[in-house]
Amino acid sequence: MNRTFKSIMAFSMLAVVCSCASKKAAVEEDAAQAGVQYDVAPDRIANRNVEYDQYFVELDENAAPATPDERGFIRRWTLLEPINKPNSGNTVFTDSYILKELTKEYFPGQFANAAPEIGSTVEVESEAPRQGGRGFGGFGGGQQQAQPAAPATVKQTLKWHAIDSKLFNIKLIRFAKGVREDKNGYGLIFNAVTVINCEQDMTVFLAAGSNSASIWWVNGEKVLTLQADRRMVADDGMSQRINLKKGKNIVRAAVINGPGMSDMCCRFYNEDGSIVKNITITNK
Amino acid sequence: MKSIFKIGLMALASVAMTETAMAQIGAPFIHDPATVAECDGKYYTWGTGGSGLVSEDGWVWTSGKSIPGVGAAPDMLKIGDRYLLAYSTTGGGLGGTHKGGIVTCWGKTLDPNSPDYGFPPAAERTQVAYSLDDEDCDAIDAGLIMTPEGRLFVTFGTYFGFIRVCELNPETAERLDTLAPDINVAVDCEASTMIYHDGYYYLLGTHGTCCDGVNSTYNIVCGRSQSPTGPFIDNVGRDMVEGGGKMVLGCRDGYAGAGHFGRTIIEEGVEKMSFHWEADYSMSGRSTLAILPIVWRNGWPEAGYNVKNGVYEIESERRGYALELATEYVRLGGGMGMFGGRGGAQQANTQVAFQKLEDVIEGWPAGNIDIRVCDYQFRPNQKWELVALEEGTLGAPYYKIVIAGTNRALAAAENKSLTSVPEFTGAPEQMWRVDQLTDGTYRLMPKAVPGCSEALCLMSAGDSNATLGKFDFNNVNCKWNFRQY
Repeated sequence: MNRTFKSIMAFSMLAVVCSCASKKAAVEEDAAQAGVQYDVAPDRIANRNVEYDQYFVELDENAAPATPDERGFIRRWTLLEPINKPNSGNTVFTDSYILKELTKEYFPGQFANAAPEIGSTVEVESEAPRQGGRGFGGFGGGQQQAQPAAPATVKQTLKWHAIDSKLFNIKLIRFAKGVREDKNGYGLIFNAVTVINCEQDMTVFLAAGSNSASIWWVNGEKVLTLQADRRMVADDGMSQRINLKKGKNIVRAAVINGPGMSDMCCRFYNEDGSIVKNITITNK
Repeated sequence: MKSIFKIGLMALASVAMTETAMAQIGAPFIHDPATVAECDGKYYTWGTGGSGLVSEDGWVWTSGKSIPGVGAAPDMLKIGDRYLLAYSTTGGGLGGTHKGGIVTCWGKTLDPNSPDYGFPPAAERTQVAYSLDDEDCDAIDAGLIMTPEGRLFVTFGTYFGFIRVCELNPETAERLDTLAPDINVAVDCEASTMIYHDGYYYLLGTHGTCCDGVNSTYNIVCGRSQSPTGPFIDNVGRDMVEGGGKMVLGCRDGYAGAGHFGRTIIEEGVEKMSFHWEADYSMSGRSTLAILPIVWRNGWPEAGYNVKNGVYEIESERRGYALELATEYVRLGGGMGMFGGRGGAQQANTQVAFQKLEDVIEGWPAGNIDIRVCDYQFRPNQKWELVALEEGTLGAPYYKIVIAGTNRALAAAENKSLTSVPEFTGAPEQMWRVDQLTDGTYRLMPKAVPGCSEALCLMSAGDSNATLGKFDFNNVNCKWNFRQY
């Protein structure tokens, strides 16, 4: 497929003329046929396929325990289908807003120090998604943008999914688009839980990044807040020293995003700066 | 690169000139500027929507001719005797879409008054990369690089997923291999571009929030690789695909949100970075063009500093001595103060008075006074006041350099020598270009040298004298530092 062609354009920011490449364009096939070869890792090759299975492997309760990946990232999580929280931009993510919205109890047991049952559902009442689904009319207005009328509420029935991420990070927007009927990936709150199994007590740091703001808990204690409009950066934030006890430890994350990409990543560091790998990760 | 339209309109608006000494003056309003390009002695840049700025000297900028058909966030690169323009046909998330395309075309000149001026119509421009409406990339914010080997690459992408790179044919600016895939080199940043320095390719990107006025957190970061296709690793070993990036510039001196890096190499050791501030506190919080020196420290680029108005020691990098007027040395009172002298350890300390200008100026000659270099001792003949003038060079104003408290000015003189004149008159030999060099030191160049057509700089002559000579970055005699006490 020839992606290079002469385009016909009028001067309009919104008039886009581009290739009609199918989402199923086999990038690997292109790479194989290309005359110019680059010495890059396979995961660096652009992949236009954004189907759910490009990012996640759905697990059942019989999944064998996982371990951190070679760089220590935790790829196994139980993700709740996202809660509607429409925002026209991320500039509202102040400290107080994050604390209020990410510690709000939407369903009983939300903050229990226990892993959710895979495949179970919860009922929540949330704000109705904005008309248009995504984009919300553009960016940049920040708090100066006209605010809509008081939002209508809707009831959502949300399911817990046990997944392994195929990437080091958890592409939450792709999770949302994959599990939601409306395919909306914007204006959402994500809840994630994982279980860290230790053979002995450990003193560690939790290091995380999120797009956008997030709060992280370990065994029910809030250990890290990443406030404001931010991009996911590995090790963006790091907790104070925390104790992982021998046996099961519950790690919980809540991530909020307005329009745009949303993802998160997490790993643990030992006190000596080395990455924690001597743990297993389960969904229960 | 998000909130485009209103900022583009701002750039086109006619505005009153507002001068600030330490930033570009005139009407430098722009968002997402292309790397500053020079053509026939003038400087040009364009922002989103093609809005243009032009400058006669690189310091005073005014509204220039826009390039029709340019969408978002252009970049410009001179290759041979042609100018390569790259831009995107959509905005990142504008209207709710991430469907974008990177387009290239050539121009012969940037001077709109030239008969050769013109870029081909949109239909004849080439799309070299694209993104679908929904994939982990948004093809916007093109950044061009020609490698030392003559290979041409373009980076693109925004906060919506990956920054990608693909290779172009340097003769045609079309895609080199239409089947070669794009390569992911960073994630969740914007306004990428790549530069080469000392064996490494540096990928520059902009993190943070744009388009939110003084609340913007836009900041320029970078990682480096020995290959233009990455992986680009930051100073703590993080891959930019994992969000890594070492800060080049964020917020400074009443300016918020640095983004859209572009590099201009003037000559060895003299590099400038063009970018925009999201908000200039002194200009109603508008987005403005900025140009600052690049300093390379421990292998990483940083935004350097233009010298602020103030009183300084001008210290030679060669020896560490100070530039001074060759006037009579006037001793301060007292003798040996060590070993418990002056009353011994039991006596309370008192402040020793510094020598004041009025203590010595009567003894100075009325006419020109020679310049020399000597031990710094806080003396009035060693205290130089720099004041930015309202014209300059690329990214820096000219300065008048006078002895603090006087109007006696440092000046270039006949026979490539130095002097000081009793009164600053604004003559070109009294106007000094001050560039921070890539190692953090500074060079000082008079705008003109009497009886000489060469561009010369202030140089150490031995440890204790100074002269004018041809600049050589590898010659320590050409380098100076500004110290404040």
